[in-house]
Parts: sequence; structure tokens; C-alpha cells
Amino acid sequence: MVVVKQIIIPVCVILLIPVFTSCSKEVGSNEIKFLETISLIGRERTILDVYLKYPFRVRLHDTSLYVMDIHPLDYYCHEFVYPSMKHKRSFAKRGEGPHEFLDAENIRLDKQGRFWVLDANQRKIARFGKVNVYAPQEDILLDEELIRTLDFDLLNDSMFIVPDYTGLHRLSLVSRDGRIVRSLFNIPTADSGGNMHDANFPLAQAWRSFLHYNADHGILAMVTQLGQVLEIYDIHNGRTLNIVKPTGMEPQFVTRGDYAVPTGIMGYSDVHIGQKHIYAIFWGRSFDDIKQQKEIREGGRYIHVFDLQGNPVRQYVLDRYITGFHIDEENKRIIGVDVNADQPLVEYTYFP
Amino acid sequence: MKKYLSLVAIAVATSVGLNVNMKFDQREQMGITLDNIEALANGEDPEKTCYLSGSIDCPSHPVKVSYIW
Repeated sequence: MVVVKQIIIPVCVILLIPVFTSCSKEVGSNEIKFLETISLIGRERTILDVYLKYPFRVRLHDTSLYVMDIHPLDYYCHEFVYPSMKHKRSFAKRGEGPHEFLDAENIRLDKQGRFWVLDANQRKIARFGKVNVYAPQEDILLDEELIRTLDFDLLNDSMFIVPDYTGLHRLSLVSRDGRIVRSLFNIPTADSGGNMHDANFPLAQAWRSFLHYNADHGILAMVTQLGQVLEIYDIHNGRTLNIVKPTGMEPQFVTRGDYAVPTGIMGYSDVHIGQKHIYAIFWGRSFDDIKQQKEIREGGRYIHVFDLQGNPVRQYVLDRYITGFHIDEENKRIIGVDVNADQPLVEYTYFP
Repeated sequence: MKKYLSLVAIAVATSVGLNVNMKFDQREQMGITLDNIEALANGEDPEKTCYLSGSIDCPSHPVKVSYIW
């Protein structure tokens, strides 16, 4: 008995030290208390004709499924027939020539089913028609004052809404000729007290966010790529509805020159605001683990669901790590993209 | 008792050695990978701040990377 207490137990503890110190951990999924957690099993859809290296956004419109790849070989965007996944066309060709793209940040479809894509490196939003895939029908050069636009949505037929990159504001409304019409709100960081008078690029970089606007009720949801912050704004009435920011979960970073070096966790990577709920993909991965390659998978397997006031409702835990999704509330369907798999398209049916 | 103390000493030495070796391998492998990838991610960027393909916007170079350092 003495041998067990004094020798064997300490030896076992010592031997387990390397096991614990080498484990990576996902954090944050329990920072917000959801009423329920539901596990979902995905169904893969096979794409035969196109190689997708790092699909980041996916949109479904009628029987057309659009996928955007941020590290493409040739084209940033692809259209498939859904659900057969037969390749229909590829467009937004990568390159430096006329009508070519240096980047793609997001894709949107308007009510007429017209396709829009944002190229941050060329500071432009382009619209493609349904037939001609070689050249955009419309190229909108964005205001230089926007500096760098990393996401966008369609506010209405005549305006876009984009995140601010100067640190002076949170959002900007941009006209169809690319001019800033109005700037709204401030970065909700505790450090500044919400008042920004000077440009603060590192702060804006660290608070880089993904947004989605729902024109039916005029509410916009925005989630941070670093940390774990959800912002909900009533754009119609110009007011903040809620900032969901668990203690200590603001984007963490250190400033090096004119840019921010992330030090905390990788947070959200996509957001959807539906009729009654907000959905967001959450990674919860620490940068220490990413740097040490303890976790090499890209994406998150948590989908956080909130109501439109920002109250946590439920959390889905997926069997795959996804970077972007399409939420079909009518059919209770999630279409996600998993960059870690040879076949990246995965579909979930959710409940309740 | 001496026999048991010897066993503990051996276990501690093995454990520490194993842990250090694992960390060294990780760093060595990561160093090789990063050397390769940083060239791709940064081109001629002398600051070499952005690593691996990912979804974070590199502030010093127009590429998307896994992390910034």
C-alpha cells in the first residue's frame, strides 16, 4: 500500500505530464451559456469537376450553388447546379489583366439573382451577369478613404454596407458609385470608451469582422474573426441593439508598427441573420496552438445560434470543421464548406 | 527504498527527456514548414510576418494566412 502511495502514483503523474502539455484545446464554446447543445452529422456532396483549395463562402439561390475559393488555382468563384453539383461555370479569374481579380473576400446575390463579388486588393465590387462570365457587367471602384474593404453586403438596390478599416467607425454605407455616404457606430472596445477621434489601423485590423444584413427587418449582425464578439445593429433606426461580448473575449492583439498581431483566439468566420435567429461559425482555437501546429485543421465545428436580441439559444456541434456556410431556414438546412477534406461540401439538417 | 528512489529518478529523467524531444521535433518540423511557406506567403517581404495559407488578412502583404507573427 505504501508502495502504491509513495511510488506508483507519483510516477504515473510524472509520466502523464507530457501528455497534458502536448494537448491542444478548443476554447470559448462554453464562454456563452447556450440553453442546449445539439450534435449534427453531415452528408457530403461530391464535386467532380472542380478542385477547390480553400472554399470560404457558399451561397444557394434557387437551383444554383455558388462557392468562393480564397486560394484558387484559376478562378475565385464557381457555380454548380444544386443538388446534382454539376459544374455550370467558373468566373472571377485570378490574375492582373483587365477584368481579372487579385482577391475575393465575399460573394452576394441580390433579389434578382445577380452575383456580386468583392476584391479588396483592387478596391472594387463587381457584378456578373447570368450569361457572360468573362467580364463583369459592372465594376464599382470603392472610395480611397475606405482603405481596405474586407466584407460587404447589399443594403438595398442603391447602397452597400461595409465594415470600417480606419478604426474611426464600425460601418460605412457606400453608394453604387463607390462613395461613402455615411459612417455608423464605433468599435465596441472597452479600451477606448467607444469614442474614436484618430485613425487606429491596428485596432480596426484586430476587430476585422464578418457581417450579414437582413433587409426584411433591417438588422445587421457582425462577428469578430478574433475573440468572441457578436454585434447587432438596427440599421434602419441607426441604433445598437446588443454587443454580446463575454468577459475577456474581445479580440486580443499586440501592435507591431502599423499592424495588429493576434494573440488570443481565432473566433468566428461567418455569420447569417435570418428571420428570427442569428447563426455564426465559431472556431475557438488559440493562436498559440495554431503557431505550434497542435491544431492544423482550418475552420470551426460550432454553430452558435442567438435570437435577434443576442440572447444565446443553442449551439450545434458539427462532425466537420467548416469555414463558411449557407443557412436555409425554410428547409432547416446548413450547407458548409470544409477546407480540410478532399470533398469540401457538407450538408446538415438541423432541428428544432 | 533505494531501489524505489532509483525507479522514480529513471521515470522522471525519461519523462523530461521525452517531453523535450517532442517539443524539439515540433519546432524543427515547424521551422522547416514555415521557412517554405513564409516565402510563398510573403514574397519578398523582409518582415516575414505572415505564415501558412489561411483566412486572416495579412496586414503587410495582400495574402490570406493562418497566423501573423
